[in-house]
Amino acid sequence: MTLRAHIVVARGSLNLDVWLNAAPGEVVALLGPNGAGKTTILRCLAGLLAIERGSIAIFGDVVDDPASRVFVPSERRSCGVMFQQYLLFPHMSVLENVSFGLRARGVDKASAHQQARDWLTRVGSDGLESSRPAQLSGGQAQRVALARALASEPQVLLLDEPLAALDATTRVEVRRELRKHLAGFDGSAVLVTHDPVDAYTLADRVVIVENGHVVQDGTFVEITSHPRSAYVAELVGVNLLTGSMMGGVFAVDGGAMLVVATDDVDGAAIAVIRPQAVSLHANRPDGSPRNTWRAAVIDVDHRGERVRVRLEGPIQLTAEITAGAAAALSIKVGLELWAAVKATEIAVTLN
Amino acid sequence: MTTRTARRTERGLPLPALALAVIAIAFFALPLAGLMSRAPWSDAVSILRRPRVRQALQLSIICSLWATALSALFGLPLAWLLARRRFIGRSVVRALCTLSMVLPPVVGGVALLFALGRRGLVGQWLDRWFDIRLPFTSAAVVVAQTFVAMPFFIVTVEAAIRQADPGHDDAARTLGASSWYSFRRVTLPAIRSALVAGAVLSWARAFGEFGATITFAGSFPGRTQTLPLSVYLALDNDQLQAIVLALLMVAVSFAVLVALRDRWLGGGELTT
Repeated sequence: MTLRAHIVVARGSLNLDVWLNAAPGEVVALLGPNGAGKTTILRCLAGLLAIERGSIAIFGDVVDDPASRVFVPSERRSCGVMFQQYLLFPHMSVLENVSFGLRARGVDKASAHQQARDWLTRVGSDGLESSRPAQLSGGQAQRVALARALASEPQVLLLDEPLAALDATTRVEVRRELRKHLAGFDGSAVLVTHDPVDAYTLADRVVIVENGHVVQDGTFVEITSHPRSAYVAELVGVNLLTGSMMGGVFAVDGGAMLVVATDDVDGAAIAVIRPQAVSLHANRPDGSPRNTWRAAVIDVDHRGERVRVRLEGPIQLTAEITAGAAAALSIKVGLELWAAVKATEIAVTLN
Repeated sequence: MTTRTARRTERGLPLPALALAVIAIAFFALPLAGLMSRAPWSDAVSILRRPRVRQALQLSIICSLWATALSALFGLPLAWLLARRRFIGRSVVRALCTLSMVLPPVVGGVALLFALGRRGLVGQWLDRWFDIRLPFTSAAVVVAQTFVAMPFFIVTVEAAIRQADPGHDDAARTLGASSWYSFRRVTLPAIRSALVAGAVLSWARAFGEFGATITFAGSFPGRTQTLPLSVYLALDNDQLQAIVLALLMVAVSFAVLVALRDRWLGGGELTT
């Protein structure tokens, strides 16, 4: 493990107690509501906040362990941080911002600037060297902040809501680039977000944090089919399908087609379908839903009055139906049935 | 006939309030007019060339610059401490360090005398161990001026450090910057205009210092008699000289305030 952390710290009304691991090359998303403690976790990992109990180790080196009085301050940890508001230094040029980490670690000016230029090229921001942060657009500032975090070649990359400050159009583009850079990053990356789509598209694994505790840890599909809390079910437990849009039809990766209600987007996209929007039928339904397909039940998760049904077939997703409906259909693993979803229930976002 | 009123988005001030404001302006303008009406314009240059006057001016400039330098040297770390560190009794410390802004300067001078005078709390040891006797020396002028001037530096700079985003310091640390490197490269540039404003304000305060200086340092020509002191003393025996010196101080202070206005009240330089 590159990153192994048990973080216990109290901040105001928040009592944080989480375990967090990340393998080399792995991108972990911390997903949760505001105030859940996600940013506090990042600050502890970065060394901006000391933990009260537990321990944090990066590449086997213990950097924070109150029991044995170890605390490596932020400036001597190998953590690159991209802050939510980017926090570029306003009085420095873009080049000085990106070379700051190298200069602070004693690299001479000429080679620091050369490396910074290389990083700016890599994030697609060459030509901005002499600009001031205030002159940058949101997307440009994001790229510069990423270059600055990566330029000192950290072992761990921490990203706090990396896309939250961007408008919808820029977001799609920057998310695509960010995914590329994360894929090329050798160390571990921890990403804080409250957007399931960001978590789904950028992370290998999702850790759901609620009220200072990890409530669930797994891949996106695992979490969607077995959400462990009401919050997880409501906000994270959505079906996300990758595919592409063309002329009002969403082609799911793997071949199936879904008719959607929007026809103004084209290209790589993600379809978001709430499990409650997927209806199940014993026989092929007729009438309005044009999106119907044969599916097999591969997993059933009883959640009181509601039942989550994981389906396999041309489109793999999770449906949520009432216990009554499940009984009427005699839902069980292996059952074959019809699934349907209305075009208006599919939200499409460019990927 | 129709009268067209000018399109105004600002509402006019009620008449009584406007009248009071005008009286206030007159209240500040009249004393200046009084000074100027009595000024011996033709003799001004020769008066300014008098050795006593030049001595006082020179002493004032040198002492006030020293006081400004000391205010900045000690005031900057103190402002940073007050702005960025939480500790028990912080508000008491802040009140203590800015007390001399509201204290009558004479009281400050008396207090300095009891602390640093020959038989004062610390002064007796300075005298006994180091043979240092502070009162009635030029150094005492600097001490008195620093005492009343430093709060202006502290207050200005502390406000700026509070306004500067501490997140930038966090960002610098995650990039490997030591606290000194971060302070030098990130915090200081962010508060540059406040540093200038604080230095100018405390210099102006030191330059005009009277009460604490005359109490703690006395009024010895060439040694402790600064410009304000010589204005006061000249009133008795040479009114013309007093007027010329007073006008000189008015001109200097006015110039400083006008020069400062854009940088300070106008929000300082662009933060881009």
